[in-house]
Formats: sequence, structure tokens, C-alpha cells
Amino acid sequence: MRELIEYMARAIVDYPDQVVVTEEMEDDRIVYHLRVAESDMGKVIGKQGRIANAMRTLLKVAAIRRDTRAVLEIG
Amino acid sequence: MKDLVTHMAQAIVDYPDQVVVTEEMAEDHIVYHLKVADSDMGKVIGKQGRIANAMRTLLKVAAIRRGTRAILEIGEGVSPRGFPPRAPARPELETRPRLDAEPELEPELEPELEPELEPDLEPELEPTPEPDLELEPEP
Repeated sequence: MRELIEYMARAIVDYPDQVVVTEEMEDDRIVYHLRVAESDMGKVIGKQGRIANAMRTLLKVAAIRRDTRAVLEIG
Repeated sequence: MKDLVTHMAQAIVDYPDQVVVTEEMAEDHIVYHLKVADSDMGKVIGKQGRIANAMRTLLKVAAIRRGTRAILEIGEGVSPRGFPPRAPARPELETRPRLDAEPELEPELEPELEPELEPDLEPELEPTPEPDLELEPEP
């Protein structure tokens, strides 16, 4: 799932090599932290968080398929 | 961008090896056709097309970054939003020859054709939201 986030983020930012995703287990869920170049922050969040939410939607489904829960935090 | 669509789809389906993405150049945009196992259709579309739309949102941004435009179609050219595919060219083309052949029927043909076309599209759309219900328990 980390790969999925990296893939989605790298596809939409200007500086793909600055995309860093770290994961952290928290109780029954995995928290993913997505970091991108500062100038790319707007791109991964989007107007009213639309892009961030699109990534979260897909991450959620991917997590359910693996019988777990996942949260995406940006920045 | 084809890879992006493939990756997104493969992450959420039960049969990742049945994910097939083909791309097609249209005038000013690229059309990506995503095909998955029948039983996975609901997963890539989602309730009210939410998952399909999430993929479209990301694809759109990826396309803009590359100075192009991209469209994602799922399944056999039927958009999960409940509309026929963006180019309603086919129904029109089928209508025209008939009108030429039977000019007297002209006024009657249109109302006749419409109800015929809709049921064709709906059966493909209907089953899609159902499989996704399994996913719903997760808030």
C-alpha cells in the first residue's frame, strides 16, 4: 500500500524524487505519512482536499482488501 | 499514466493479474480503458462511482502535469456515472441509415429508439454498485 501511495503521489508532483512515504503501525491501523517538496504540497492536497481525498479513497479500499485499515497523513 | 491506472486498479481488486489497461489516442486527449475481472467491477467503480472518480481525479492531475488530458473508461466503454460513453456516436449512426431507408417513420423512430438504448446500458451499470456493498461496513 505504501507503493500505491508513492505511485499516486509521484504521478502528480513536479518533484517525484522528493516523495517520501513512511508507515507506522498504530493499534489496528497503518498510518502513512506522505511528504513531498513544499512546492508540491498543493498538488497532493488539491482544491478543498480533493486530490488527498481521492488518494484516501483508493488507500481505504486497498486496505480493506488486506483486512486492515489505513490512514493517510500529508505533510 | 497507464502505469498509474494499472497500479491503482491492481491495488484494489481481488484479481490483479486480470487488470488490463489499454490506451488510445483521441484528438487532444488519451483514453484509458480499464478492464478487470467481472467480479472486480464493483471494486473499481465503487458506490456511486466513488472509486472510479477517485482514479479519474488522480489521472486528471497526472495528465495536466504532462500537458495533456486523459479520460478513464471502465469496462466495455460504459461510464459508471450512468451516462453512455462520452461519444454517443454509435446510437446516432445506427439511427441515420434507418431514417434514410424509411423516411415515413422519421417522427416515430426517435421515441422508439431511446427506450431501446437505455435498457441496453443499464444492465451493465446496475450490478456495479452491489459488489461494493461488501466494502461499506468500513466507515
